[in-house]
Amino acid sequence: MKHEQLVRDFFSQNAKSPLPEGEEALDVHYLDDGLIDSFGIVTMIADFESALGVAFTAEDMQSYEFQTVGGLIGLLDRLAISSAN
Amino acid sequence: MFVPKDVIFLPESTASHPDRWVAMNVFARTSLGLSSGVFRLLGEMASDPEAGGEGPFRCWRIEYFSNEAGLLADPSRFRRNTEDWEELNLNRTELVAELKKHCILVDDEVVYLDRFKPKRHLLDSVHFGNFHQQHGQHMALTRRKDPADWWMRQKFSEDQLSVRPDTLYGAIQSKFLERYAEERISNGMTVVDLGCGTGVYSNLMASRGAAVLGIDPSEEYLAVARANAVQGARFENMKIGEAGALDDVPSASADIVFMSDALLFYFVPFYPGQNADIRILLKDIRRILKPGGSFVSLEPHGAFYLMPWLGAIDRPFVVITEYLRKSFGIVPPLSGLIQQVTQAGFVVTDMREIVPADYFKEIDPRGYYFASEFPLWHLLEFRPFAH
Repeated sequence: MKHEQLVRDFFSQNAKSPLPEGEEALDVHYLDDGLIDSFGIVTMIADFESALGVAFTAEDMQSYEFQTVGGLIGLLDRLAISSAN
Repeated sequence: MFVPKDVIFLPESTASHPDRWVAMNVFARTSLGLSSGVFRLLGEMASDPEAGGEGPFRCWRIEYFSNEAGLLADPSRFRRNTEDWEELNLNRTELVAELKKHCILVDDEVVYLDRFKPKRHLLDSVHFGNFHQQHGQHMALTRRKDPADWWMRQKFSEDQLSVRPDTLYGAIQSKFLERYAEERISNGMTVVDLGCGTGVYSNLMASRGAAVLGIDPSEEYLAVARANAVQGARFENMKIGEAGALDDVPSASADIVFMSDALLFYFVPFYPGQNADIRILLKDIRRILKPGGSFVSLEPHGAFYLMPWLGAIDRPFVVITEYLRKSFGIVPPLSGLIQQVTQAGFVVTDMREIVPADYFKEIDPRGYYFASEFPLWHLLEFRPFAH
């Protein structure tokens, strides 16, 4: 959960309502819950890719994992490790 | 696990690559290339779940978002050139997964049918959604391009001043309008071009001697239009389809109100929550027209637009999966379009189903022959009904 703060910062700046504190946030389906809209997703993808120097594939972005806050953090952790190697 | 009735099989064998079929789910618009071993297996599965053994099975990945090349590019979504097919040799488990991925096999009919609902958001890959949603998703996630920019470039030249002749837009719409303008537009007429974009067609009509007022809500397009306006054309920024938006256009001032590729968005919005009311628009058009004036509407064809181009190049056929109630399509059925306008106090005075100019046969024979038999656009001319 190395990139939890990055994700939390993005949502605190861009989401329509704040993420819950603590672990509860990890299960949030940020799209279904309306925290961000389609425009927000495009911004989010670009922000995370430039912050970490990684690139999401279309499969990454359409995975179930990508749609929850916890899944997204896990994916960022993995991508950051593989890009570092 | 079963093959839905929505799947068709098309022969694609060639001398160099015998034994190949395209399996296409015509509702889902997905496809996979198959060898006859897989074809036979699909037929036997229902009665014998173990049929065909463990493989290996030969099939080919052939699917792609073919409309990326343009709204009027081949909408069939499989690679025509069999040299571009990606061969796979799969064991049974892998084969079943690949067949399911392309909707040639499905597990559960209820779950499958639910997939035809609109996408819930940009990342929703479960629901197919309509063409706008599929295109937006493809552009945002796979190509990382702005869909609005693509929308312009697939129709207009780089400088946005002419319609690309190498697409069906040029061969059908633009070529037709050149002839139509000669026939219908004459010196001294007043024309209002609603949704004029960069003014390509406004300029065409002005060059026939008409005084043309081009109206568009996009300042970006209007800047291009103004910089390149021919004599007789002027351009104004106004919203369209909202109450009061066209109040600055005088009543009974126009011989012709022209609109192209615009009314469809009043039936299926380009983006959710789009604020446009066709009744307000039509009331405005009726007010702006002189008595005896015409509302000329050029729109994609409600039956054939975005439907797959199948069959031999010069003897095409089409499989139409929806017409009245569209889950994929973005164009209203003919009656839906015409009734909206007639209910606003107009009568239909002309209709043309428009086919491509001959030169296009050399550029894209498949597109040419298809669009020559199954029109992709129609023009409707309406006049206010005199009470």
